[in-house]
Amino acid sequence: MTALPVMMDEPEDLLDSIRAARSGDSRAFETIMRATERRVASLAWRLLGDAEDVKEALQETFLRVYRFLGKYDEQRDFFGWLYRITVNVCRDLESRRRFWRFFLPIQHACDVEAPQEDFARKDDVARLRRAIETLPQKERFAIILRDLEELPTERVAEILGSSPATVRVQISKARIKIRKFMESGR
Amino acid sequence: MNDFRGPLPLTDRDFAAVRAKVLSAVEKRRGRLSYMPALAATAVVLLVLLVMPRQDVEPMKPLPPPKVHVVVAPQPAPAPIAEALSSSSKEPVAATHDCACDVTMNITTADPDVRIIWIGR
Repeated sequence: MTALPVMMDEPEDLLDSIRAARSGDSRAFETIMRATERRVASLAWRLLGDAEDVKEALQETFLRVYRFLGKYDEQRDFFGWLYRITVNVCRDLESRRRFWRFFLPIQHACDVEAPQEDFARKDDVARLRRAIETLPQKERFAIILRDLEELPTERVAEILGSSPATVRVQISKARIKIRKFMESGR
Repeated sequence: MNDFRGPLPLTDRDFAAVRAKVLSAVEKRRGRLSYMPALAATAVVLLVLLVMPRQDVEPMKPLPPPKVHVVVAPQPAPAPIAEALSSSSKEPVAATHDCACDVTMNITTADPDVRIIWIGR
């Protein structure tokens, strides 16, 4: 039997859980985790592309959420704050992974089978994945948040801790590089 | 572009395992934090004890030398020699040390309750 994720569409419910968790209620914190874990995991998966890394990122993200929950400003969007923590955790994990890449074989996201309709599409997806993988981290994170998570540029800038103008430049550069990569393969 | 990674590879069991790990870490952390007020209080007390200026214990002053009053008891005046000589033929001469020559030493110390009286003969 598997637990169903708690759907918390009402921001007030989430806010109540946040307040309760702040005062030490573990069940409330578990409710927050259940309500947000899939979004966090999805973002981490897109940023990292490795199942084990995603689990590690998920765990570390929620530990940081618990540690810094007292600093969360209720006037601001909780998911923006949560995404920012997730992105920082993924950055740290990726840096660590880059360091160990020389020593350990990594099961890459490319190894995970995605259901595909046909080989041509599968090939396109694989090429797109490689194109995104080759981008510098800042551009990669910006384009994933903007084009895959479909967040507005201002929010992406807030999550990445940079200005919207910088994010626009990063996304523009990333798109050009991806296009070139895709065209070069044809 | 949305499925460039494919579907999320985590199952419900993975999510549950992560939640359990997080909650266990949170409980451990809370357990550690519960010691903190007691530790902090102990540290403060120790710090206060260490930093608080200690009252210096005054070293004992050396005792003043005891005052010695030597009181010599008055001695009977010795008999004139001629008289003594004349009487010596009749009576044996008593030992000279029979003459009581009392010496009393009264030693007072710095402690008013302690007084040493030495009586010598």
